[in-house]
Amino acid sequence: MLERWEPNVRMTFTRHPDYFVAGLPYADGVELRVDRDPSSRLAGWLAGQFDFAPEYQQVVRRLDLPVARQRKPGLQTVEYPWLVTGYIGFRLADEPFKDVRVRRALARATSLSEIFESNAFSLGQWVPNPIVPAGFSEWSIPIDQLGPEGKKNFEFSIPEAKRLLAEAGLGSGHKTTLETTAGYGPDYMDYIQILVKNWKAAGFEAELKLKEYGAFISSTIFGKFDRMMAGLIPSYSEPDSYIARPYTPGSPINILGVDDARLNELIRAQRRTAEVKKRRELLHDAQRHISEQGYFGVGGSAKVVTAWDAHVRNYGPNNGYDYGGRLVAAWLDK
Amino acid sequence: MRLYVLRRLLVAVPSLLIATFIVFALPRLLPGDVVQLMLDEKAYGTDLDDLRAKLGLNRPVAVQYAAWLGSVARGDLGESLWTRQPVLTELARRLPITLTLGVMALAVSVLVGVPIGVLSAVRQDGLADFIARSGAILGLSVPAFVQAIVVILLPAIWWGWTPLGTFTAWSADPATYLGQFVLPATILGIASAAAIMRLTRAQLLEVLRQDYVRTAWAKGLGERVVVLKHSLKNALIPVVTVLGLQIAQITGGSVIIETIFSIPGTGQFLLDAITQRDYPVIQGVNLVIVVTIVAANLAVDLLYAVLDPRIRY
Repeated sequence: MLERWEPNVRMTFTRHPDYFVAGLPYADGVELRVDRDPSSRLAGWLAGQFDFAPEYQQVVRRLDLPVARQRKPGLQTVEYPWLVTGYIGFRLADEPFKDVRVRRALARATSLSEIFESNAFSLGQWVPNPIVPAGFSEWSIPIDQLGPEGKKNFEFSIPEAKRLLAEAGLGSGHKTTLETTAGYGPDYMDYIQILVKNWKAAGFEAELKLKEYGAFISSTIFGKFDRMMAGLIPSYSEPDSYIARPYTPGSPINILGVDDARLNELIRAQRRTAEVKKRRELLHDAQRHISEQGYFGVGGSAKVVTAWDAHVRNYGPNNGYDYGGRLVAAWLDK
Repeated sequence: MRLYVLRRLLVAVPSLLIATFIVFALPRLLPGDVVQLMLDEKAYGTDLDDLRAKLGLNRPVAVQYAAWLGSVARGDLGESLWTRQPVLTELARRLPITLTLGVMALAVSVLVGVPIGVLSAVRQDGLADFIARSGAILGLSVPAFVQAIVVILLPAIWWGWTPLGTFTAWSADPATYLGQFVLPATILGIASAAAIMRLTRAQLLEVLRQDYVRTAWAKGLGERVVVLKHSLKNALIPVVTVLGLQIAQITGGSVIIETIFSIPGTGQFLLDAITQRDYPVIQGVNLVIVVTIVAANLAVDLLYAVLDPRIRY
């Protein structure tokens, strides 16, 4: 239970004496320290001030993993695909995004392998995502089961992107603006730079407009942007959120302005289906449709490494925001 | 002197009024709606308008400004929009921390900059001068945040040690409290020390060429007496002026240093408030910073009279 909270500094949790499961939690307490600077976070962990790796979901950047292993003998790690994935936004009512060929061209001009080769969290270890991330393996559609256009989206090809743009009447190129934020960190900005560079090679020139983080998450993600935006899809704990939140008419984050009768029906149907296999089929159909229509082109997630010190026992990460769930049954052996 | 101080305080009033207008207006020019930020996607129906009314953000801006000014005059800096805690309470907790950091950084800049500047001037074009000038260039050109990251990260990688840790309050252990500021204050003070070193050197070289100094040498006075007693005071007057400017620079630099070293001072507090569009906090902290700098510059002006007996107010 929360014992003490210093806003933006620290949260201290102490063992609940009457926890509903007898004998748990094992640990006497947990301290969550807020540290904004990635270098000082890493330094604190290497110096033994923290028991878990310093990034989101107790992840250590692969770039830092060798030095972490060197400094922490017996370091425990697990590797898995993150649920966090990038997305781009625009308005379907605006030119040239009305044309599905333009939307497909943007996907064809996106080199996920280049993005994830250079990303410090992945260093080439990654998985491609449809709208429901591959990390959600029970519900995410395998890429080879997408429709014909959906599968092609994942084949990076600048010539193909140019051809699609030419067919859409943008043979001489197109200039636009792309709003995003540097608040997600330098690794995210590397991804954006690679994205924009490859789009430019295809003739789609997006001028970057960086917004301060607070402004971005209080306005841009709700549709207040000029022409295009880019951001990160958060981790959701169930698949409905990945398709309903961005694509249901009237949803605050339906920034594309999607009002697709077929998709509306699929969203409604999967919500009303309790039987898992049937619901999975409906969700797969929804993902296929979203991909064919170019509402969501391509995405990818890094295969991240969660790490914790040798003396932490009976621990494993949850793929999402639930930091405390696994700590209930963890203990320190030192 | 008393009249001078009173006059300066009276002149400060319109400056502070202009400052209050600026600190009030600037945050509201930032794009992004604080109420939208708070409610995120969870707002339904009239939730946004209801929250704006509750926080008083639906009133005309001029009314909000007047109300805030009135409460400031009564010593009330308002409440945080997010935590609903009085801004003054939070400031009372954090300001001493930032002041400690700032004073120590200033001490570093003076205690390092002035002696090295003197040495450099007295040993002009010698090895000591060369090393001092090179060091000053380095101190000025390497940003404080780079120095801080290097100082934090490299020892952790090489030796498994970092200067960071849980912040210790003064009440818990005064020695540890002060000790934890040594490294951040040094890094924060380095750029100022470099600037002060260069200015001290330049000013002292000029003063040492004066006729009265030549007379002092001719009288057979020792180097220590000529430099420290007869020359340094005159050389320090422009340095004191720059010191006043350095106070503002150190205040600005403390935001980054506090973030990197996880020091819970006003700098970090302000940074969070800006990200969260916490207007009362932004206004309160900025106002305190402005008042501090105005007071510091007044102190600097009064210091002139101490250094130069010809200056009388």
